[in-house]
Amino acid sequence: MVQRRKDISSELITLGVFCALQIGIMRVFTVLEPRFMSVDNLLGLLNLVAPMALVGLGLTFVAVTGYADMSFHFVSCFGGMTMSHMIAQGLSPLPAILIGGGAGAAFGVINGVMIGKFKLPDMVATLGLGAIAFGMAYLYSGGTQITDHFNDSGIKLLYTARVASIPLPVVLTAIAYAVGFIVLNRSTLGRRFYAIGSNATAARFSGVRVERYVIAAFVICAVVACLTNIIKMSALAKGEIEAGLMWLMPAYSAVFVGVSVFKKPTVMGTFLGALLIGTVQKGFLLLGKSTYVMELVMGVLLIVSIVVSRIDFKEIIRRRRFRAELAAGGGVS
Amino acid sequence: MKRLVTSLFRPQYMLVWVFLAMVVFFCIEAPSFRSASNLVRAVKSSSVIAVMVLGLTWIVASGEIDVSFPSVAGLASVVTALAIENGVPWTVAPFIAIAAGTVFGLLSGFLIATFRCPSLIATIAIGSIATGIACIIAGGYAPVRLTSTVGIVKTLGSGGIGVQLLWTVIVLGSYIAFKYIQDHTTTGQHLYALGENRQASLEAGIREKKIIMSFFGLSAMLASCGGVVWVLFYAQGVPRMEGTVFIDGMTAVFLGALVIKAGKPNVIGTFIGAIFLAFLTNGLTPIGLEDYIGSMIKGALMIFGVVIIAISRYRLAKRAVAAAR
Repeated sequence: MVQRRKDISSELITLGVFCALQIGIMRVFTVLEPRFMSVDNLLGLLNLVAPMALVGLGLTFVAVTGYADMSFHFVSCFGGMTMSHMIAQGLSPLPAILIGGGAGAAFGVINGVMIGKFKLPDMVATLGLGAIAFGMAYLYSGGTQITDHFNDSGIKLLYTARVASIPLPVVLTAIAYAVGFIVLNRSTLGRRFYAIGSNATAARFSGVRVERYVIAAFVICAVVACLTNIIKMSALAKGEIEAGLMWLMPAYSAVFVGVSVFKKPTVMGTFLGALLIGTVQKGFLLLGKSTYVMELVMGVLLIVSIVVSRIDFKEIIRRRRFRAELAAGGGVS
Repeated sequence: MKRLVTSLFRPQYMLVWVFLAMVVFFCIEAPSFRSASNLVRAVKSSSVIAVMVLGLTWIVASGEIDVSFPSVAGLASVVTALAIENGVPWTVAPFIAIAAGTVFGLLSGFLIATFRCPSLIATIAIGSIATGIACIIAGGYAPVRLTSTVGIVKTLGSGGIGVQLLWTVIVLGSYIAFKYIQDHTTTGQHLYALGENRQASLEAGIREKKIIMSFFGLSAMLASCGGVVWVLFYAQGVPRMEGTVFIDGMTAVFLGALVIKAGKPNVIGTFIGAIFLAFLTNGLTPIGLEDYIGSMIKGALMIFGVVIIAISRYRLAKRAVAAAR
């Protein structure tokens, strides 16, 4: 119990440092550019953070079970193109989105079976399946963009609609996070995901059906990635194959900035990670820097968070106090 | 005789047979595949990929992963192209680019060795920084074209057979050198020891940090060499070399792991993998198939390879259990 309390306080200190960092960054940008705190810019910030946070949420489930998924961005290309094809065929938006997500789910199931049941190495197997999914994304149009019926079918509403003046993607992300938080942190299901991550054999002997949970994790990851890419395509108002490729880095960055705060993949951590990265990116965009800076920012923040997470703040504080005591009391005798 | 036949058809040599069958099939199906120009094109693209992933092979063999190699190669290609465009002589430009690329590799090696962060994460971070910088100095995602055609670019790009042969000899030579280091030196031993059991090799006194740092530096250096050669061959620097380069490189290493040392990445295997992929890509168009079919075939091959490794490991484990009894 004592050990546990110690862990929590160390975690709180790291969390405090990150919150201070977040607030500090926002202060710096507000000083540099007063418009940073305007409602418009903050809404834009949410719009930037939402997709990154959403795709990261899916990856969090896979990371919690202790595996790596190198296929979700390729699968999201396929899911997005499936949705675009359905729209072009004249289907209404909701079924098209569901079919796109279902295509992702199919790939998630294959991933989960390969890794959970047949114990294939996760990185290679998912990469192989990802290459297949990426090839299949070309099947619909042979490489050209799909734009048919994008303007008149109402698919663009997915991006432009607002709920109580908050953009729909942000609302969807918030709902997904609420569900994700309840599942992973407040339910037995979530405990089982974490149990598999820390020791799959022990979890199996405790009566957890490991395979099912691994499959579920990969399905969630693939479906969420597809939905994120579908939102992006509705924003672009066209189905573009390579649009999905960019999701790999934001997802991993958000999850692992979170890991460096909480020492394990968590829903809260992923959100904080996405928020931190999004804030810095938005700040630079507002200052008139080109969009290419975004990737640079992501990489630098990821490295900073790795380094920060390895610094033991409690130890530093303890040492400083010790030194102060030495100075005041004149030695330890 | 029978023994020879069975040893030739062991799972280790499966890929070689698949490769030969594929080449024969393409030769019969498409006359244009047999042409000299197509052969030169295939050798050209395979040598670029082969150089890029030579270092990656050792990283994967030691149980780490490097996903930053396309970004580093992209950065190197942009630096070379811009340097040549801005009047730096072509003999100097490549060295600037390779030095810049190596710095990134050493940086990710430092992160992994000192801060013990997973190599996937460190290289994702380094990769996105490299891509970001490449895009900033190139001023966008569009490739930087070489307008002033330098002599060397002309000779290499137009594919004079003599130059091509020289380049192929250089690539082959470096592969043979790496093969020697891998199989006949202590570094090679340490490399596979690290991949087999990290803790045990640490206890045995292998200097893990030094080896990991130098491997990542080496990988980035070779990736940037690939980027430089890309500029010399195709006369353009590409800031974002993701997508196909990434899939090709990873497939070459993982397919190569099937050959010679069943299940462990090794340089000769990677070489065969790279040639395999180049011939596959160059054979699809002549027989009338689209490029994207290639991506699907590569993915299927990768999964197929992993399954074969898993089965052979399972059999070995079963045999070991039987022997223990």
